[in-house]
Amino acid sequence: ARTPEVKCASWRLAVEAHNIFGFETIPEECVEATKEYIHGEQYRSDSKTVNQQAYFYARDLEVHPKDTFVFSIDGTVLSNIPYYKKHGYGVEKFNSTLYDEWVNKGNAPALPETLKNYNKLVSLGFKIIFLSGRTLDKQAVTEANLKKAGYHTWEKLILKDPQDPSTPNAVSYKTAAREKLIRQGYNIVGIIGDQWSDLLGGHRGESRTFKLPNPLYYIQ
Amino acid sequence: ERSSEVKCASFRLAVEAHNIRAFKTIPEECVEPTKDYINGEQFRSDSKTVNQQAFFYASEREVHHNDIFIFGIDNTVLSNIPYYEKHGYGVEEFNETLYDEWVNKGDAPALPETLKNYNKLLSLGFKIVFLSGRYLDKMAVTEANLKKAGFHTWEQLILKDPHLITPNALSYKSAMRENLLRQGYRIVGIIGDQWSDLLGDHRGESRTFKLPNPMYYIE
Repeated sequence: ARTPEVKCASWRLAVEAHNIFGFETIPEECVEATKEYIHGEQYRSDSKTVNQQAYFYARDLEVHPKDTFVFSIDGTVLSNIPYYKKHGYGVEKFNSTLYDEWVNKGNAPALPETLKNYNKLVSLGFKIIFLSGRTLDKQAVTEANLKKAGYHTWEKLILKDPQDPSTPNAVSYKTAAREKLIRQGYNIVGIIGDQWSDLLGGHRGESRTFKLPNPLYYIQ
Repeated sequence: ERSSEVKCASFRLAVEAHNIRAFKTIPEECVEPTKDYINGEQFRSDSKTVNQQAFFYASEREVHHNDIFIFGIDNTVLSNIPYYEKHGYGVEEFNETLYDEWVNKGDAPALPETLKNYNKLLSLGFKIVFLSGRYLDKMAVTEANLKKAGFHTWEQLILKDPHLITPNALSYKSAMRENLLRQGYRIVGIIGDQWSDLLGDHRGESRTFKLPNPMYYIE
């Protein structure tokens, strides 16, 4: 039999390559392995490599005024590890009440490799759009948290209207939001997210997509 | 500064998640970590987990007589590690002449976790189609090699007509899948070690499964 260390590394790889999907919690036996991955140097290195690829791609492009990189927020630009380390690294079922309480504190730190890349993309002249599944009532706290974490500028910050029935899941919500952006004349050059639901679906324009590591949870 | 071990693990992950594309060779500093990965237990475990996911998915389906699973061949069902271990685990640029010589020996072993899964899918009643970028002149050696490695039955073995003009593997495999759909097959799953096996058109209602391959990239 495989050790949990080996088995959970395979599990994590399979999540990143989208071979495992729709999981509600991580396997019990993977809590320790996930904790070690997140707090060790591999997670940050993995984040660095993906962000570097996005930057290498971006710097070879000629920049036009409406060229946009779309970033997600939780687990992509703002770290929610402070929350998940108190909740078993994904072994507990998602609790929206507790998570909202945490979000409303506005204390999420930046994911450092994403922040570096964000600053480089801004320097190259790209516009940044944050597209998040957070609901509109979190607008003020999200703006404040982004600034506090070092993200000082953006073209748009798009949060979710909880009344909007046209969005049964994150894929369709984000697809609809991108469609609107394209109609407004934005040219989506890249999409950076920690969930496959950030990166799949329609209306991606001519973009390349970049999947940041997230072994803690899956959003449909 | 990241150690080569850490950096190359990130390279490998980024290849699997399709963040790194179209590389012609692996980084020099990643030869040793790639060798350790391939020959250690992690590669086989990674292969097992992906094949298990495919089986879990398949085992919950009602099987119809025209339901197929499509497999790639090289490094999906047949291992080419015996070749790549003599060629720097992907650090050397691809040499078609040498690779063809190796293929023509017909000695490639099975990837053991794929073989297990193949047998289980057959038991469930699925038909198997092998769809490979190998050329038609390799038909006899490929059939013999598959059987020797333990893959004894298949619905179709599709190799590439060298006269067929397709710009890359992605469009070739899309075109072949279109043929299969037109012939009335229902593509239930696609299993491959390259993203070009799994992306593109005419995938039907299939789920796709990406097996690990840190050594090369086929466009």
